[in-house]
Amino acid sequence: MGQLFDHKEIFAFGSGKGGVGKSFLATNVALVLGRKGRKVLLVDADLGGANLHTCLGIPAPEANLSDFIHHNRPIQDTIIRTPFENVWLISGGQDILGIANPKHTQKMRLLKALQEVDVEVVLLDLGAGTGHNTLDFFLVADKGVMVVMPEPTSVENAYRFIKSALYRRLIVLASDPAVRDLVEKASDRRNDAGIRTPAELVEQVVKMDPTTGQMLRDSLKQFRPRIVLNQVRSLADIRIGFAMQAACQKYFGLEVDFVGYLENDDQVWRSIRTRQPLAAMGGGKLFRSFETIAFNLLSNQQLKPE
Amino acid sequence: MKPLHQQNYYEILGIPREATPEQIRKAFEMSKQTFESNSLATYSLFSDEENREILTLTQKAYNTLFNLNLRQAYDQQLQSEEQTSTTKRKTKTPASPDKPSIQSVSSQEDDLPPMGKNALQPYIAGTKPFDGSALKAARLLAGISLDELASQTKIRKTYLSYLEAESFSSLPASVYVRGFVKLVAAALSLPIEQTAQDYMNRYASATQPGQAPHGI
Ligand SMILES: Nc1ncnc2c1ncn2[C@@H]1O[C@H](COP(=O)(O)OP(=O)(O)OP(=O)(O)O)[C@@H](O)[C@H]1O
Ligand SMILES: [Mg+2]
Repeated sequence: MGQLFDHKEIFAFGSGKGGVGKSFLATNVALVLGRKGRKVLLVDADLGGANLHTCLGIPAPEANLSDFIHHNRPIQDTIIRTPFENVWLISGGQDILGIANPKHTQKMRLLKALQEVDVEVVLLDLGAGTGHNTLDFFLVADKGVMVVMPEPTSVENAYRFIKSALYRRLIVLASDPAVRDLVEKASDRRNDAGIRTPAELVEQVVKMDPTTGQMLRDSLKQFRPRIVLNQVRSLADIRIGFAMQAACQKYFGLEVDFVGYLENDDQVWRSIRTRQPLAAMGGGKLFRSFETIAFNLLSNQQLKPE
Repeated sequence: MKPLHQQNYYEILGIPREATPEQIRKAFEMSKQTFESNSLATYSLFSDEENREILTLTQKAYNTLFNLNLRQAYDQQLQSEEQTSTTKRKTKTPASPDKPSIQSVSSQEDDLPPMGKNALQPYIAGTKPFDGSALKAARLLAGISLDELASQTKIRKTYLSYLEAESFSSLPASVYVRGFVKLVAAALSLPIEQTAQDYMNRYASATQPGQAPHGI
């Protein structure tokens, strides 16, 4: 029975802003999990900017995601072995045309196929930005991880990402056109309905239609993004993770888990230049941080202040 | 989550009613950091003016709750406001969306109004199908928390809450869901086959092909 219910988990790594370390984090978390004996599948879902193979230090594989999406190749045939124990990869499509925009049914087919693959954890590396594909993958994952750097541009885009994901989630739930309208309106901050935050939006919907309102409220409760701070340089930087939690609580009415941080480290670019994943070298300053993040993600825990 | 001006001091600080002075102090320190001017954490969410407004409220909340006497008086006031609002609510039609002006801080899932022993009657009599809310009602009637149910059934707590909330897209494939529902029904002494069948009907109609499942 344990087998049956130990259903696999899908983690998605998103960010809003590009270049903040999603692929770097996903790769190293995969390696850490692999070393601990978990079977892991990395999926390069950065449609259009695929580079996970490079993070793993292997040449672009011939088989990739686009074969599955566009040429109906069985998912098994697109999975390749990596040099690292227990870690498999589905590489991103290299054909620039077509793949960047799979249809809804194609995405669903992919998710279904991923459920069938014989691994314990699937890590989806998403592209930057708030496109529908990215948001949908983030929303269907069991756990969505936001990578944020402690700087205004990254924080701003992270919040925009959370907000877009949230509204996309709510809009699908609202079948009543009037409620839908309101959700759409509220997603523009300067709306004339006087709604400033998602928390206020839900209150408004409750007044219009208590049943739907309650549904949206429940949906908000279940949406629990994780935050990882990357490239921190001081204790003050780390505290920003906790402060972002408090800010999300007040603004979005959302519980957000702060699951870990990574120090800014010169080793990182050296590892990327030599195409040797950091966690493969074992030890290292950041290794513990990857372990913490992996542990917190698997066990639904988070960092505690102080 | 209520708009700020409707929140009580506990909600403003984001702490439970029974918070210790130490928790209160920590929560206050955290809000000072979060909502200070030029705060990176609120960048693009709250303006400096809004940050100031929140800080002022947090300061008030802290001043009251950190002082034992003031806190006692405040708790009493909260309690009596809650009582009047529940009696007000009782005299209204059940469908009224009105909410009491002050509610206890409870982000917990077991946040349903108290139910009578016959809350499950319509399901058992067959006038309502066993759905997610029936599972929840049965669990609450049995006085079992999600954690307890999880350890009893060996089903993850998150899945149990998805079952109750009918977040079908967050659940695994249907064979597993059926298995889950049966285990839950058994643990809560519900008619097993009936519950599984009703629940899976809802599952099937919500996840029919061509229709976007919840959460997408
Ligand atoms: N902790 C760190 N310390 C130092 N440099 C880092 C750290 N993390 C990431 N970097 C640098 O940031 C670069 C971008 O990382 P990465 O490619 O993982 O970002 P990404 O979010 O996946 O980008 P994209 O949005 O383009 O997919 C890396 O090449 C590396 O040089
Ligand atoms: Mg990347």
